[in-house]
Amino acid sequence: MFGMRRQIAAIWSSCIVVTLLITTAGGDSYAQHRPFSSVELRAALLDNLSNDDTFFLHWHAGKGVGLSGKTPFYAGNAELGLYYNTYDAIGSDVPGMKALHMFVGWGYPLQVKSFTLEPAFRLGNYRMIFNDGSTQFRSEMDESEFSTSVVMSGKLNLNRSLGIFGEVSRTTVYTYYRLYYNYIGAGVSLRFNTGSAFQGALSQ
Amino acid sequence: MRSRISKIMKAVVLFAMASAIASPVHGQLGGRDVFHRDELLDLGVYRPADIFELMPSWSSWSIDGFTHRASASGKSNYTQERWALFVDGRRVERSLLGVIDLNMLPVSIQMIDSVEVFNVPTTISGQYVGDGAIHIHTHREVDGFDAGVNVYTGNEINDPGPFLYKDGSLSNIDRVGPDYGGFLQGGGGGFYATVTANYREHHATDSHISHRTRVLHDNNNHSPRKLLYTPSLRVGFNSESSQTDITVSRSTMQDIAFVPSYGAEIPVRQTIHSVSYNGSYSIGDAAKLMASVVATEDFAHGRDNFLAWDPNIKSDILRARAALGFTANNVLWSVGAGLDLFRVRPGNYTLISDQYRVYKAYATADLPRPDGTDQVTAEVGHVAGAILPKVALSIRRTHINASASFSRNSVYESHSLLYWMHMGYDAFSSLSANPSNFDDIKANTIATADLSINLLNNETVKLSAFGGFRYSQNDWATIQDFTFIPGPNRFQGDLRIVPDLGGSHVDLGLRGEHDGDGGFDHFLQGAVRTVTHGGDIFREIMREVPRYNLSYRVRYTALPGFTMAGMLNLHSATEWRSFYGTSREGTPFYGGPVVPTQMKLSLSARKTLFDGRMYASLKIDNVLNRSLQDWPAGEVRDMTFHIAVGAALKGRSSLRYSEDPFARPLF
Repeated sequence: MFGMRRQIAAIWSSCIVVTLLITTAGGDSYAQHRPFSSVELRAALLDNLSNDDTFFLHWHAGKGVGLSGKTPFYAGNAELGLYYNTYDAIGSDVPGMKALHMFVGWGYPLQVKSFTLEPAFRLGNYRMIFNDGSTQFRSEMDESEFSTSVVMSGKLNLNRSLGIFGEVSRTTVYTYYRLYYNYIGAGVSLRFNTGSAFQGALSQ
Repeated sequence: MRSRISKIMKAVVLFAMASAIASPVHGQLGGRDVFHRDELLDLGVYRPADIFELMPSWSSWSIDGFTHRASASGKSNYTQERWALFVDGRRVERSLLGVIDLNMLPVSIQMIDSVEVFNVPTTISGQYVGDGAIHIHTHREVDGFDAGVNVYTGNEINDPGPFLYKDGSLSNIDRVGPDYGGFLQGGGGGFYATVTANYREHHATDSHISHRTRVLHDNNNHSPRKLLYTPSLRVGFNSESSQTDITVSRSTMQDIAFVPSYGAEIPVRQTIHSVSYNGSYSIGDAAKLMASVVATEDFAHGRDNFLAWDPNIKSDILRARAALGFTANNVLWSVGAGLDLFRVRPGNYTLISDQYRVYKAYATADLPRPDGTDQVTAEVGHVAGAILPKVALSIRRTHINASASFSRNSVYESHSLLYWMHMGYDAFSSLSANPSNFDDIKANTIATADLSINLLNNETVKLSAFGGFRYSQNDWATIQDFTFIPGPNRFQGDLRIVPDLGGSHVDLGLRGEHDGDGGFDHFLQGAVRTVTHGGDIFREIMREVPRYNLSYRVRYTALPGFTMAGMLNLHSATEWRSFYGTSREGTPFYGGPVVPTQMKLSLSARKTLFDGRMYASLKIDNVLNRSLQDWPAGEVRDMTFHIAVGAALKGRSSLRYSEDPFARPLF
């Protein structure tokens, strides 16, 4: 119970911090990063690093791919993304599964010349689709659960549009026994400016 | 506890007084609340029934987080809900299972223009409503074309996830949705048409009810869940002298319905067809004729994939009203008559209940005053040889709102229906050659008095002290349930079966609102309520139940098109039990106090885009429930995450019903 309370407290703390950042920093950043002034699309290859959690005694993480998009949103960047991973069963007592991680996020970019470092926080849904649902326990063929992620990404801008990036993240899936996933990823990004009409429409 | 409430109340008064200095006085809204679409979405109302969370004057509970039962300020109990639901002027009936289910409406939040909530007696579409009412107004596109979609889903934490395959003790946790909705609208030249379709899905698999519902799993090995489809069509024509509106809808729900008197869930598929006509015609400049007809068919039958059970019961309800409105001596009069027909029958078998007819006549007089409006409504009904009078008086002034009502009511109770559902046709038919003897038309007497004193009422601050009293004298001993203020989003609290032989309900409270004009909007209400039951038939009975509730919400427009909101609801109740016995779960209990307490904290954020054409919203609910005794005992806490998105071709900012209804024509 104590552990659960600590995790819940951590979520609330994160939400409050994000909220405070948005509300307090919004005024200055609005001028610096006009909302929706650009869109950056990212494609990444992902690897889920095994850790010593119980989950990895029964499942082996495969490779994954991820697509995401981000745009300036007042005090930082808003993000929307979809990651896909596979997990193979180690034994015959559990089925393999696929996971779709859908998330929205918010990050604050720190620019150093052509390099951008960006800590971010994501809220999402982690959908687990089992390869074989037949079990002695009554269940759906899939499960979905709320997730949070803390992310640190670094991007090197090759020119005004193209960039390469890498990221590390820690994702917590709030199942009864918590799932903790450590991701690393790397990929390319494409950034383009949006028109004033587009920006105005999204800002209302 | 009392000293804390006292301190909070003092703080509210001081805050409101400080904010209201030198502000002009304007119109008032006595006994009525209005919620607009944007306000609903900002506060995390994603399904129609979620609106109960915004109404601390009402209490509601839900076993499964989807189907709610409600009582308006204690004006009716939960199993025989007497509050009335209207959508665009047409009456929505209680279902065969006795529930007024907002979530079965063919309406999504995106389609709602505004919601009126009446806590005092009033008249809607020619019908006297004495025990509270909710009137939902949907958006109509009368000039041009519009189309839109919306999606909503939510998830409670602590699902088993992949460990489902490693730990059989883990059960699935509730999942909300996904819900999908869509609409097409068009209008021009006075004509308009709207087509809507809504799909809702709800997985009530929490361990608190799964021990009952797990035996109900279907033959595809799916967890019990609710599936709802609700298409509807609405067409109308407006001219200078007339308005015509016709709506056709169908709601089909595959349900795991909790039946209070049965004390358990039953798998059932309900299909409700409704056809309504509302029309008004001007007669010269000073008079109008109104007509309204609503026909509803409710069919409960076996659920797909569930074996060996089929209630196969149908009810038909027809309500017709006609009224004439005119002005004489500066008084707005409405005089009308109506007929209600009810019939309940098993679908393929014999008719088990005679038709139940109610003839009604009514008159309403609105007396406009420079600083308010008075309204007097009288209705006389005739049913089964009995005369049922109803009288209501409302006085609405700048600083005071008062209402009083007296009503003699009838309720159709089909015991044969429940027996049929529980026992099946064979057992039922062996009981009596004339099973209609099991059906009753019951009557009771209800007297209410409500008083609200507006301490402050200006552009930014509204502060009122309110009190109410309700007395009921029932002519029958019926079995019903009662529960302490559980949250609408989850089953919480205490459920039992007690007799109601009449009783009283008193509430006193203080309520304040602060409209920040684009900044912070605050709402705070605290109330103390006491419920007394007068009967003593069964061994388990509540005599007096003091209840306390404190509700606070704040809405903050942080940035253009970006709104954040928080809601805190605290409920606590102290019950004294007179007898000892055994709960349904087999837990022995003894006389003494039971103090269930619930705290629910909701945080939400919403962003609109494209000038209001799109929105995305996120809400987090955190619930803490504590009970000293009984079921569920101990502490329950959980978190649920919700997300809702929607889009439409046109932005929605229509506030057609924001004005005081007492200042507008009756129809």
